[in-house]
Amino acid sequence: MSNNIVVKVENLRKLFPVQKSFLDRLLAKEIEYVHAVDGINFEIYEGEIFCLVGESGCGKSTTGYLIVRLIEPTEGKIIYRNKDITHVKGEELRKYRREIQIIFQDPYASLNPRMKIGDIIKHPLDIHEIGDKAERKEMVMSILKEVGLYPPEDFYNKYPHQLSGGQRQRVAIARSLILRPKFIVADEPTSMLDVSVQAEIVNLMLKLKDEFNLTYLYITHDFGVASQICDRIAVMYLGKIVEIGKKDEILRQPRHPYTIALLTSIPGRRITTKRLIIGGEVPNPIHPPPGCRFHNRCPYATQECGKEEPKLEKLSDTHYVACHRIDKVSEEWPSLF
Amino acid sequence: MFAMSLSSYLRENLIDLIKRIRRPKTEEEWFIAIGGSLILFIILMTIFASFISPYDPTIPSGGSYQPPSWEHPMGTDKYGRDMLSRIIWGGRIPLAIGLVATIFSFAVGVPLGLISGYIGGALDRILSLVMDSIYSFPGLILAIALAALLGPSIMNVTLAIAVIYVPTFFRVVRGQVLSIKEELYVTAAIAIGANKWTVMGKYVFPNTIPNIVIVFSLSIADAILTEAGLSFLGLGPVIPPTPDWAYDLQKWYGVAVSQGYWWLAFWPGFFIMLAVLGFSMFGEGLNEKLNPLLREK
Amino acid sequence: MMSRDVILDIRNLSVIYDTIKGELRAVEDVDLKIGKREIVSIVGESGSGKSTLGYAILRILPPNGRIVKGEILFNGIDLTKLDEEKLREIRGKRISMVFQDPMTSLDPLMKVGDQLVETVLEHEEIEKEIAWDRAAKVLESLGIDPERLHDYPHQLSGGMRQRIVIALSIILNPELVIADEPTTGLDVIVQYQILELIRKLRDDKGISFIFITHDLGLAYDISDRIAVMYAGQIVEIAKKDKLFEKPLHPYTQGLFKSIPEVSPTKKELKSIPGFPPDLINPPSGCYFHPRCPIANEECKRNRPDLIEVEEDHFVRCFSPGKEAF
Repeated sequence: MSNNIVVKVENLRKLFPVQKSFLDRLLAKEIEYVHAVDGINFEIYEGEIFCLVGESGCGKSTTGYLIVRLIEPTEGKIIYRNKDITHVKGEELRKYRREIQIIFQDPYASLNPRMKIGDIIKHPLDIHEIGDKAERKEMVMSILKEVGLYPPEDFYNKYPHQLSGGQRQRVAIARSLILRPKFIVADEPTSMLDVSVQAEIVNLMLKLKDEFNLTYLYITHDFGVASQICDRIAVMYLGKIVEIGKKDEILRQPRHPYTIALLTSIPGRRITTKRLIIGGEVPNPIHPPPGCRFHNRCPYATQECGKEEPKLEKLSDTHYVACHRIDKVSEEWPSLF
Repeated sequence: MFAMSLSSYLRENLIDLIKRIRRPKTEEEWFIAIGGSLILFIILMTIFASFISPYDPTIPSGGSYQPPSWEHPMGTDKYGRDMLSRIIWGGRIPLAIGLVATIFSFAVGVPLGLISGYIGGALDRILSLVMDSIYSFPGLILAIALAALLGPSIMNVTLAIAVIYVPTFFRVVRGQVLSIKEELYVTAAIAIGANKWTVMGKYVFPNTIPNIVIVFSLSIADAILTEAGLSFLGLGPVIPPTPDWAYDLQKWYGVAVSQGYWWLAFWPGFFIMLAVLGFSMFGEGLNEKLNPLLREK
Repeated sequence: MMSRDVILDIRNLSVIYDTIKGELRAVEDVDLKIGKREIVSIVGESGSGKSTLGYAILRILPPNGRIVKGEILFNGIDLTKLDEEKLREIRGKRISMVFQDPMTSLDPLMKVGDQLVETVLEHEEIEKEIAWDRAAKVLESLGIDPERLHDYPHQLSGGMRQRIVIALSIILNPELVIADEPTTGLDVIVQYQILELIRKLRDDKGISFIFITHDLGLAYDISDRIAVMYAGQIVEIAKKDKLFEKPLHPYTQGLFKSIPEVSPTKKELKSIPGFPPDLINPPSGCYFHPRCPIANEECKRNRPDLIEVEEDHFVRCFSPGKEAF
């Protein structure tokens, strides 16, 4: 893991306007927004696997889409290799699309049902005019082998509906790699696959990372996957990053109550039986709570927590937590595992 | 690009379809089989008219108002012309007009629907308004108005009918495009760097084809009926002695009822019905078959 | 075998789906006993037959599904032989079901309270106010504010909706509840709350549960015993600790090896090669043999039976306990 920063995100914010009903428009009610991503900062270093972990609705997928410029940010900057790509368009944007790619969560919906597998994977080459016809076909065959779809000639002419979920996801991975990108956003790539297939795909992604010298932003809600493959983890809650650190730091000494609640609520047979129980549910992202977004569910919350939003505080060079009650929390939860 | 995806789609699916239709199992497959057979029958009959027609339909070959007999299985008309020959030849104009008009509507309506639906905005709003206005007119009335305006030639009647069906193609395609453009594979295409024309042509359009084929078939059915309607009202493009089902129907309808010369009105009407039924059943069957499939996964 | 009272005894159950391509063997030769106050998990991936088993017990299979063999004895009564009317008396009242997606179990056009009341009134002849009272009490026992009775499903959060569905399933005090992936789609914390709820229902009201899931960890947390299903058959069943300590069936072992652990120590993730079998033309012999690293000639020829290999630990394999993955 080098020290070069591949992607840097500064004060990234995305607000989605809520559809107003006709009556609301008539009454000239103020537009409300879903605070999907509400001011996040992080850096991803070359060669690392950076995990963005959180439950559904926390904004992690939106973050991924923002970085790949599939959605426009409301505020903030996206910096790729020291260049501000937040607002690039047209040809310039297309140039960056060669280097930044995304793998989607749903392998059943991300492939065009009317295109052959070979054509799906070849299409990026056509768009970016790489190589001639024969070379392109060769490249597709070669990458089909890399992702484990043997024999490639067979798969080239098949249609997505003839493939299983795991195979389709391999095709999606092949498509994202054919342009030899440097950075890949993986948006929950295994959550719609069967358990035994998940392991295959995760292993494939690890292998390809080494072979192709990739950097990953791996988005997931599954701490299991995150612990097995990530170098660093950032935990998101209601559009904000509440804790970020090296894998060991997060798993062994989490300091944010939400992180601890998540880690200890995961079902299974484990050595640690102490659990941090929290009640309630994730609040409505249209009206996030004032102060610390987590305060109304947090067993350690104080008055201050409800008034002032905590900033990410440095615990170590690599470990940051956004919480007013770090001292109390570390007292009660010195370490897990 | 459009032509390529259309032809490759047809190629793949036609073979599959024909295989399945040989042994129809479900209700939809029966519709497609029967409809398809009817269409085939009528088209073949029309194409090979000169080979199978026993007589020249424009010159007398028998007595006047002869009822069906061995020499004239469908009887003769007032001028002694053989009805069977007139029926065999009589499909040319309705089919030609129906087909050409529908192709024209398709060629105009589909691209407009595609672009309007995908790009949206002001263009979409204006086009939708125009199309909705045309669509809300009862088809036959509009056709009559246009035919009266332009004069009853074959070209003009074809044009009039074509105009009526442009909004149908537009609406169907646009509706499909609106939902398809939200699909994940379209987002994926954008993510790999495709520009909007590539996305429209390679990702959106091919997924609308099944529905377009359905509308195509149903439109032909409707077009034939409209043309028949126009002819029946005397606004048709047919100049005697050219055989045409609707023309004959209109001309002999009176005597058929008053004098009992039923064969003069029955057969033309029957064949019009057959043609319309064929295209309708085919389209409906295809609709039943393809649309549930599209909902899968 | 078991000292507890057995309330559900499934013997030799087989279920088939009629499809265009042929008969699909969804469930085959299932033997399962559920005791009073017991929670048993049925764990399997897609196509394992676990949901079909749940539907078969309540006789709510889709039109193309049918039970071709076996008995389902509920307190001595064979459910496979009952007619619709008798079954309706049992469904909802003595055995009820919680489905995966709350939005499909709840009527979006009815207030939640009305749905609870309707369920009660279908089975009991009591006054509406009394039924409403009961509904309020049930919500309270589940930790829900009775005010929620006046809400429509779309006004409630996902977790709340699932709690209402659970309320619907227990309001008539059933002896057995079949829960089919009831926490899918809920976040881990809400999931934990729902599990607590289920445990409480078992402890306080003595309800037995059949918990269907694909998540082994979840099964461990909630159940007493775990049954692993593959290709329509139960391939292993044991008390949860026994299963976790020493899984005896190769498939179970493979499952364990493919699940990433939440732990700072890296563990190699192994995947099970191949694909789940075609249940219309299943493999010869043991259904798992094409994917099994330790399959031998016998496995290809003969079908293994479910045998008690250790106390209360049953496996369907010719070489149980041998390390396969």
